[in-house]
Amino acid sequence: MINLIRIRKKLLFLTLSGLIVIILLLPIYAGFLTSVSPPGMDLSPSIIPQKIYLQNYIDVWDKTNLARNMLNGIFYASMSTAIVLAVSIPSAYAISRFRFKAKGLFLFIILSTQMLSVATIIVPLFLLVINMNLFDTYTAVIIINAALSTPLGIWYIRAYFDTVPKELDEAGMVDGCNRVQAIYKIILPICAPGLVTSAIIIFTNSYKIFFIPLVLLFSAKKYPALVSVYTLANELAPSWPMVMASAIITMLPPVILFLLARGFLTSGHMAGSLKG
Amino acid sequence: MKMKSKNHFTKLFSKLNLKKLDFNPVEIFLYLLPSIILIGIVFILPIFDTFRFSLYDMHTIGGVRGFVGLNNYKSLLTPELLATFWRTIVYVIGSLPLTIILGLLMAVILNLDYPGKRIFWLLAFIPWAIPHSISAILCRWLIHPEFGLLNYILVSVGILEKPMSFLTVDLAMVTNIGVRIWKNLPFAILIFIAGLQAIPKELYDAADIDGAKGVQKLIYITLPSLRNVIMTTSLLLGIWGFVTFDLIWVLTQGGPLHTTEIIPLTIYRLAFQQYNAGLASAVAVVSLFVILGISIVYFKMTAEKDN
Repeated sequence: MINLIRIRKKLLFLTLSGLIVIILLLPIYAGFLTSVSPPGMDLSPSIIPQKIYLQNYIDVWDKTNLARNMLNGIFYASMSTAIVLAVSIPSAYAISRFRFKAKGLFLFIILSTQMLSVATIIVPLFLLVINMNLFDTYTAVIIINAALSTPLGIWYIRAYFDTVPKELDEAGMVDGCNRVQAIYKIILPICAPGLVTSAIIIFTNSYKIFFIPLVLLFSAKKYPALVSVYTLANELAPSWPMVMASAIITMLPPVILFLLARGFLTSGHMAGSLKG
Repeated sequence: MKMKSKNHFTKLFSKLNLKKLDFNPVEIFLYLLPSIILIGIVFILPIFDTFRFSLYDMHTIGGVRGFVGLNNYKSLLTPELLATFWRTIVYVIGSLPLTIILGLLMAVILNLDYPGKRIFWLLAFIPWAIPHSISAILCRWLIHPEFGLLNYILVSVGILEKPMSFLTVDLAMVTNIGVRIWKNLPFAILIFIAGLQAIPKELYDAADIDGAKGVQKLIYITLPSLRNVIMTTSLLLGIWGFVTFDLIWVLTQGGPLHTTEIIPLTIYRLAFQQYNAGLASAVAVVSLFVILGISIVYFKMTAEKDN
């Protein structure tokens, strides 16, 4: 009897939770539904797809520039991630290991940049890029995306360095390494899982940046997929099945990486500093 | 306070054999230099430039046409631009309470005891992983007046008699607020579930012994325990609301008739569609101060929490 009540209770909880998940996933589901319906036909919605028509995905990949734009987006994000790692590892190490007067200020500036809207500094950034003859170049997008993610990189990597005891650096230096050797022979290998997670977060963060390429790029062939999907949707009479297929392909890299890194993300460890 | 930390400091040092740790200021500076250069050029210098530009009559591409002092700031007081500030407040404040309330409710439900919990959590967080611009495109399609799934569901359930447009002059802001709530719910749920799990089980056990009911436990244990989490989440969501661009731009481009144009969109329009860099910078400066204000409150609160 008690068991029956317990099972019914669990069933109720399951239904309620399922309802929440359905509500949260509804826009994605609506996009998916349309992405598998044949183009040019009646697009009247239904809850269950009449027929799974995957040709849209093939067409969007072969007949539009999506493949190229996807590659652009992944290229920008990868290069930015490489720069962010190179720049933030030494800084994160210094913050984790050394004591200095300006540390508080440095951390404050790092965190403040995460609160800043890029829009507030876009005019000077735009002029800087124009003056350096970098308008409509890969370089401009990569460098500025990297700078936007550097504070995040420093913040996360420092947290990993903090978990490694200082005595390990000491031990390495007693054995004859200098500090730089101690960092890359001892500290970095120990922090490898943390660095991979940080890299995933930084990559995802720069992949999601829409505003910078929108302002700093002019040629459609240099757009990352985020911007090209947006221009596709803004055409006079967009083919919605095609738009939705592109949108779903475009969101795959961050979603897949999110699922890979979920252990870290759902632990709530540093959830408070996730940027939205 | 300062003395105390100094004592602690020296104690720590004597333990670690000071000779081996060469705390050379030049060395520290070299470690920090790459990020100082990158952040300095892309964040700090542009902030100063924004202040400077706001004092000039300036064309975005044509350059400076003359010093105008505070004239750009006077132009901020026109009804058109005051409306932007007002809309930003409506957008931020309008989306906050529902995000928090629904987020709490959903977190409590998702955190109940049922099979497959982790999978449901994972699914619930997926919308958070999607880029904002893609979320906006998906929502644009969901609420499409002719073919949108939302209209279809609302009509089939009987809430609406016939499909409607959600992006009219009257409704566009409400719709944008709704989209923002949807977009931020997974984040709120994530933080609240983490908060819920940090509450000691003993509190609930004690309440059970006292014969407390579910709702009473929610009001007297859960909510007070989450007070800090709720406050910091609200502030973060507030700041992010203030700096939203992608989500609104892709959905409505600030239209129709500027009804959904909040500060970052106004800056973009002024700078890149009307080429009035001076005025755009003045708007940016005001918004910088607002964000700075909220950030300081946020830092103070998180610092208190850490202590």
